Amino acid sequence: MTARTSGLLCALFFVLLGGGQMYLAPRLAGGLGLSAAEPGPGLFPMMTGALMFISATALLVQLLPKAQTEEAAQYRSPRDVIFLIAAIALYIFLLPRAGFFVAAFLLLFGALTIFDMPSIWRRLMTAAFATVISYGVFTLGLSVNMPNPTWFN
Amino acid sequence: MNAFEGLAFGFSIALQGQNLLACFAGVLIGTVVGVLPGIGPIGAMALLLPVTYSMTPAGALIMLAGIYYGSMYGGSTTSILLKVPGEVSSVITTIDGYQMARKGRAGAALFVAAVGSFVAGSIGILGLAFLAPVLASSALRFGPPEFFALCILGLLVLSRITGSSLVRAAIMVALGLSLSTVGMEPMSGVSRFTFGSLELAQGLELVPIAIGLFGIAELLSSVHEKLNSEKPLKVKLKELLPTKLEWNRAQWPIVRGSILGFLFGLIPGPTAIIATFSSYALERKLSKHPEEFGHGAIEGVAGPESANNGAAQGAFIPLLALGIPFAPASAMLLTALLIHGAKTGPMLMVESPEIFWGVTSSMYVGNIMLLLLNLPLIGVFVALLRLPMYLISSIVALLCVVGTYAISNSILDLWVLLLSGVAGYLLRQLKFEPVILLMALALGPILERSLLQSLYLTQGNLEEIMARPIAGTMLTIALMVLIYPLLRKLPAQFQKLKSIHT
Repeated sequence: MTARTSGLLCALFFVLLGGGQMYLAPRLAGGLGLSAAEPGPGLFPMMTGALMFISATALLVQLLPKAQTEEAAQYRSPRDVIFLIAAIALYIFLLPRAGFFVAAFLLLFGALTIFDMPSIWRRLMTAAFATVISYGVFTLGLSVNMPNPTWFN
Repeated sequence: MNAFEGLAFGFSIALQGQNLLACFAGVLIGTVVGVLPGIGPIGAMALLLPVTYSMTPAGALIMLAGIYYGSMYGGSTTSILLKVPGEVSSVITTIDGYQMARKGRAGAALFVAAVGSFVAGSIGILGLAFLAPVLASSALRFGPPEFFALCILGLLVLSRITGSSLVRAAIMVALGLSLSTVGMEPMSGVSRFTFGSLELAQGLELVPIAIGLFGIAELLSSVHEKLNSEKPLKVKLKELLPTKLEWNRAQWPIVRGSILGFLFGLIPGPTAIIATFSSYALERKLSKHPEEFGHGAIEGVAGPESANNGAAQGAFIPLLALGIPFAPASAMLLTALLIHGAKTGPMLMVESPEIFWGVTSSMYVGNIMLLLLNLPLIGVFVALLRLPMYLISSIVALLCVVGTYAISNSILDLWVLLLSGVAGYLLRQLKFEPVILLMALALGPILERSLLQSLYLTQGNLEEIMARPIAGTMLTIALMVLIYPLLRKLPAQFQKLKSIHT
């Protein structure tokens, strides 16, 4: 995807978001209020929605006529970025189910792989060591209460 | 309380055991952050926000402020030894600092940089102690319309200084303010945009969003970046002291750089960087040996290194006295103040003098700590540069998720963190500035409450807000901040039109 296309899609997303907020704000309980002297809970969201709608429309208009100066795709392959997002999502999924040790070990192993640490054995050892150390620091040192793993109870 | 009484009171706060520890931790982390390329002070402050929950607001601010000015110290180390600036404000130091290191004078360059930073810090603290109370003396005249105007001014100033286009900045402001409306409305208690979720009814937590926007997004951005394999130049302890000639040449550039930097810090924008370049240009102009600049002139290190610290201290004046962040790092400090429930703006000095004076005095303590840390422990900090980035990045990833969970043991916060991280990454790719979003999110509830109160107070008559001297002046300045860049472009546009017609 080119920079311009992603910019246009982003602007469109914000136009819809602002528009959606403007649609929902008057429908909140109390709406926009009776008058300017008695504003309702929908007034401020209406204003921010309008600001987003107008600015995003302006961005859309700014980006549209630049078709002739279209630049080539400049974004790097997002594969590793997606892997890192997946590793964090897996941690969040596993934390309440499999507990801190499993979740943290997998996150660290995944991150070390994504950030190109050589040798799988070194990665496994480093992840295991760092998990134990971080457990000690966070739970024993800083009194962070980790959830009880539901899968093992 | 006058400035001297204030400073004395501040030292009684700053020298308490836990605050001393907070200050030490802050400057140490700041130095490490400054030394390591890739992790900025804003990311580090965001990452450590959860740790500050168990601290007093003064202790939290003392630690976070320490990270900010500590990073300025640390940034010079890599500039001198590696020719890689740890911080953008240390870019100019790479020129003469690295040349000095190549000539075997790395120790002297580091010493002068540390002393210059200390002098600049000390001058800045005095300026802060004397100028900020004058600015904040109008505190008692502040009502809802003034707070409304202050929030508008703060958001506009931040939008204009971050380098983002006006339209993109407006979208970030709108998005941040919109997110701040999720949860209970401040006046009536009506639930908004919660879609039936009880957790959302309490509103969105600032910290997961801050860590996501700066910690996770930074990690995602760094996935493809090349690792630095360059080895730093060695420095021996006995080489630390500059020669008499070097010291004589460095003295006045340190004084000039400190004052110049402090004055630049009072102006909105990336002033620490501008201050360093201005100081370098000034020293080159005043030097008896301008031909040495670029080849290891000690003035080229002493002036800019003092200037960047002076600017960092100067930026605390608008932050602590008016609650307006003139730099992105100040915005993060303001966020921390809001998280800890402290009054921001001029009321900070009235209602929480322990924060204002404690932070101000702690900077002096912190600067002494930095001086003592940076010189004998330079070898330790240099050794940090040999740590592989894959290890640092992986540990930062774990810190982000555990730190966020620790705030309220909420899995929802972790999903908010991940979502904010992805959003922050995408926003950066699309040239948006996430710091504006965070600031708008933090100021949103205050802005809404003061707007609604102002409307009740004036019976819906907005002209009355403009007629109030302080609110009117601030809104006029806000308007000027908004239209000045557009006006500045006008002559060029006229010139363009003229050339088309001729």
